[in-house]
Amino acid sequence: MPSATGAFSKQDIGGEILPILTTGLYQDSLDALREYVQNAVDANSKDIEIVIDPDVASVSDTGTGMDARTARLAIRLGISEKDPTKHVGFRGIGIYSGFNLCNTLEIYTKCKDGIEYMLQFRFGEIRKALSIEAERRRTGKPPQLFLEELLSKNIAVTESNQNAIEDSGTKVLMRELVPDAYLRLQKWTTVENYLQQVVPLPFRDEFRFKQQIEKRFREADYRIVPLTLQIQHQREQIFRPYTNDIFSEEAKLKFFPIGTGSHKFGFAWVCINDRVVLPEQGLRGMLIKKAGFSIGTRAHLESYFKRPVFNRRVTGEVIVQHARLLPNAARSDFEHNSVRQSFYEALARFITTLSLWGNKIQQEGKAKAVLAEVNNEMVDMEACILRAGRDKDELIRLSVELADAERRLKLHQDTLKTLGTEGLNGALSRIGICRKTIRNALNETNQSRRKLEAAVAKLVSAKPASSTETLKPIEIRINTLAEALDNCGVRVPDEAATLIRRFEEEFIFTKIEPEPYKTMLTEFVAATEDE
Amino acid sequence: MAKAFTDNPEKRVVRDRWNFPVLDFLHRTYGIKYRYFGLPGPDMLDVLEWKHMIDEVVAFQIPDQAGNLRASMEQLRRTMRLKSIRGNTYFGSFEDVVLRRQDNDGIRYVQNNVITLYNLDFCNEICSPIRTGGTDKVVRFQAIRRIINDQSDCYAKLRAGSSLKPPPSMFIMLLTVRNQISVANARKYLRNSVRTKLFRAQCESLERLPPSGQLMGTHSWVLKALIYDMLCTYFGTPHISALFFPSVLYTGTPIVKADEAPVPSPMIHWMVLGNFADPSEAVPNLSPEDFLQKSSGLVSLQTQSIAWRAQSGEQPDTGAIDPLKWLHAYGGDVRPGLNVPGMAITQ
Repeated sequence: MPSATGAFSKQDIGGEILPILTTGLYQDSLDALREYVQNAVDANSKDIEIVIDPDVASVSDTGTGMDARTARLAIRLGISEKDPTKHVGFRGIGIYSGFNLCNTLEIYTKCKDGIEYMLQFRFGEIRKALSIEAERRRTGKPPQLFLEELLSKNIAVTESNQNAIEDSGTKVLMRELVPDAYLRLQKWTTVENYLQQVVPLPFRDEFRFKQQIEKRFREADYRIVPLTLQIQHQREQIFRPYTNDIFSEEAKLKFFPIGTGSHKFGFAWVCINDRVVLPEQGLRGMLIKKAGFSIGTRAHLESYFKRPVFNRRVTGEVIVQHARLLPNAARSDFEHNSVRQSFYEALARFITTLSLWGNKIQQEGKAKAVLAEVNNEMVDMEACILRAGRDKDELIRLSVELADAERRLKLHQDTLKTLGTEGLNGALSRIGICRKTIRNALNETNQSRRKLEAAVAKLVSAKPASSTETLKPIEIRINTLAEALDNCGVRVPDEAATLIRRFEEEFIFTKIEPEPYKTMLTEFVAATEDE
Repeated sequence: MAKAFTDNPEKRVVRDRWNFPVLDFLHRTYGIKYRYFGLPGPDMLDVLEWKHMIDEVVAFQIPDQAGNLRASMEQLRRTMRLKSIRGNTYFGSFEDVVLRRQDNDGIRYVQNNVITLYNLDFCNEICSPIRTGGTDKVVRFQAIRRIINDQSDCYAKLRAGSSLKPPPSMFIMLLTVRNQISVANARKYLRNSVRTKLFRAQCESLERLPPSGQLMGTHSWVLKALIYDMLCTYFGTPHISALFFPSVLYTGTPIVKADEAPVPSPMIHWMVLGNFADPSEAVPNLSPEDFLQKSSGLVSLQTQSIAWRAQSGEQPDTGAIDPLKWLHAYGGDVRPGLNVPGMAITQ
């Protein structure tokens, strides 16, 4: 019977703590893969290979490997010598992540020109011992399985004569995979999608923004690691999930700094898909990455967008490089500290800037679309005007359509000017030409009618005209708005006419030359004459 | 089911003195990296010995007979990962897997690349039946027909594909068969062969078949004729030329079963160099033409070499067998081509 007094001892930690820790932290079999890949990245591996078969899953790297001391320290539970500011894994628990996955974990490791070591973890035996202990408890017997004893019996580091490592690196072999774990690990798409989220993979060669983004990565000293995955007979190199198919032709790439000065947290690369939401739902939004590993999911930042549509139109990554931003154990967020607070504030500012960019692109897109639309309409309009001939009704209908096109264009005038005046001026010029053509056609129509009326009037007045007499066109020239109104059948009082004239002289003619104004009035009268 | 072959001194001689020189010559001369297909065993001894020449492995492992049935399979997969050997593994004998198109775990069997080195060890009598799940009765050696057809389909597919690098046209088949067959099967499968008729008649006059029972380690001419006839037939349809090296007799590891006397393992080993022939040729070239009459070799543990030992119906030969000299003597007829411009086997 233990004494009621005394300090905490090794015998106060039961073996059950191991499954509690590992099951709590690594709920998915894939999390173990992530942990071993993370070690490979921390070891500066140039490439990583994962092979999954029904009996054995392995993660091999060509990193620095471990010397005797490091190998011995690596088997410790919850103690790590890794620098949290430099490495992704630093809690000293990740090596145990395969606990629920396999019966035996063998890790072969070697430094350059060093000795090869094997770290062996007999997880199957540990589970068996824990099960016996649970049975003991059920039968009311006192606990006797303490963590230290349990681990010392089943975990060891020895020199290896297997020559598993050629130069330097580490090979993790998960042997005698638990069937449930294998069932999860054998699904290519599941594993590939998971790895794409958690490993600093390269971009596909054909991805059109690859060069720019990887150049930026190099400048920022952000490493990417090629990874080959083999499940049964399928073997492929895995890339980041971005492909050209998910973007429209107009998609754009931009880099944004996250934070400034002493609060510089990293940078973000963002691809915006113009005014179209990304077809691939899983890639919509921004993903936070620390040393290549994802922190949370893309949904994490969705709430920062005031207009969620912008989140759906963008994809990209926030690359966190601040040493004091430390991922939590589950990699779902950062650990709470003052830096995290500042980071999220900077993130909010970034999203605002990103939204403004999105809005600008939306405006530009809309303006360009209207310009293209108007240009297309003008092609049709020109054909219609030709077909209309002297059909006044049709000409007037076209005139209204023309005015509407001009109105729509002018709504986006400012945005279009920022994109270059050529397109805008071109469209306006086409509208002007169409309008002039319509006006002329209408004038000709009026003149013909007047000629006909004059001829009829002559006949009616019984003053026979010479058959050779030529009818002269009646020239209409409107000089003031009062005249125009008058021509349209509106009686304008003298006082009003004086005021209108004054308004024209003092205001209108300061903005527009008298001649074009008079032409405009004449056209207006001509257009309304037959209404 | 018989136990998988394990390494033994005589097999080692075959591997080192008979197979290795040829594989190494082709590797050094033509830069061939082999794609290996076979049952390398949990420790992958032959693969590790040839590792520098092997690019990829398609490995099969039969279940263990007692205890953990997966132990050898697990060990094989561990060895592959530990020794960084690229490739795929299947749980089951290659005959079962190839014919059923899946292994004992339900993993689908597919051939995506041309195999350049077959190492086929028939653990059971080659005429023993095999269960494929279908209604047709299939015997074990018919797996070779399927293997050749898969190889041919794969070759044709890759040749027609867009890859700039043509598939290799040449392959080596190492075939090890237990020198054991029932008299009934011997009569049944040799009955209709025109190709071996004369040889059979000659052999029967010298070493007559008993009326019934099992032939074990005797009448090696039966399996020689049977396998030759079978391979010639199987190679014919996909238009494969072949060079048959002399067959080699050796004694494998006896099969030990609980409470039973050890069963001896007389073996016949074949090495065949196959090459997808020019389709314009009317018939693929199978050489040497008098292969059946050529002497067999026998492993000598004492000298760690292989010596001529003519069996019934074979013409005696003299001198040590050197597989490379033999290849150079007959290789000119094969013209493997290898799809490497300007390269052909020469003396």
